[in-house]
Amino acid sequence: MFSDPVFTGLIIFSIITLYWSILGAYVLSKSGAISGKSAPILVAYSFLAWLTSRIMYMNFPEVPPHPILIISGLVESPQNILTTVYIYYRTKIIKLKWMPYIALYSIFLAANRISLYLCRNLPVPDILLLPRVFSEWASLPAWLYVYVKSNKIFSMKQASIIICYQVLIWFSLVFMLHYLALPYSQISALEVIMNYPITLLTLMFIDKYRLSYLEHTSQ
Amino acid sequence: MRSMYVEYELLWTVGGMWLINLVAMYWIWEDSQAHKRRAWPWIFILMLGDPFSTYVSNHYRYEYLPSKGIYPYLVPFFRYDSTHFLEPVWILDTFFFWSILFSLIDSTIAFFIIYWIYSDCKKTGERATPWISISRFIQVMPFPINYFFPLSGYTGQIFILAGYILYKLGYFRRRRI
Repeated sequence: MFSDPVFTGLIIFSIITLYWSILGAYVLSKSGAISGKSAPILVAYSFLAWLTSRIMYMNFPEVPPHPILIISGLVESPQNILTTVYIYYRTKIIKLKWMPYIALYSIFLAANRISLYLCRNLPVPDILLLPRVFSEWASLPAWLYVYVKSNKIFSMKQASIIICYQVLIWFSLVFMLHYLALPYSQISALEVIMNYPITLLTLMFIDKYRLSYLEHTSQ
Repeated sequence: MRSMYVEYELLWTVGGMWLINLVAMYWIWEDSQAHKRRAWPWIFILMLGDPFSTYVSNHYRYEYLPSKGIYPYLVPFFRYDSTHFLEPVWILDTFFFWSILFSLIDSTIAFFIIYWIYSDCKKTGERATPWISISRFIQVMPFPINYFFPLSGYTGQIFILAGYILYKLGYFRRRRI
């Protein structure tokens, strides 16, 4: 059994995954972020998410279009967005009705994955760019629901400016790839830098919103 | 055969670390809420990414590898076959004994130091955010900062721990007139 180095490697990696999952869930429950009862569920989810991605990686049929990217993204991107929103909710930075949020997010995520699957035959340079565009617009309605409608972190005008800037980033990526013929490595490095203003603005607005709310409640 | 090496390298991904990042973010927001202080500079430094490393890794993947006959975006679609694994002993030695084992020890030590500082600050009513943020930042520092300050292992966390203990003893504090 252990004569196969890949199998041995996967056993070692599964033990390490389980270790990080248990440690993370334990400390989250000790910190009061999650209840003790939900900790085992989180461990099971974390381990299964890893296991599924590894099994898919090894066993997916040899087909040049991209279903593996689409399916693996089903787990990863919701996880990032949902956990961020959960932290804001749990630390009382935002208020949220979970059912409409989950419903809205799920509908757009499903639409996103279907459209991404329909574009699976596109040539390689485009497949590098299109998933980003789709992931942006899929999370947008849920983003507006949380940050504009439910919590007034951004006014509609401010939200529009941020969305326009994101669209501008995407256009500039396409421009750099198709018109300037820059190598993808340069484009990807520039993209990291171009995303700084959005990250910075979002964090500053959330901070401003929560501090003004705290000040208001303490008076 | 070279392309199969890329496949196996991408196979080795450890899960569960996302929970550790989640805990750190939760602590920073919770602590900033409790102390009614700004959180954005501390969160932002953790979200900087690494433009230079992004450039190098994608240059290697999309510009360098195709010139060697390897097309990374096609690699995941090869069906897995362990008979293509060329040098199992070398791979095991590199990945498991050195990289994985040391990163496990480093990260565990770092995590428990951060957890202890967080718990202690909660007891004493001190602000934990700067300590948590800097502890996490030195683990994910972008180039060239990580080149000049190579503190991403537990060595950096020992500096943080020593700094925190000295702070508790009354050093590094602003004098109030």
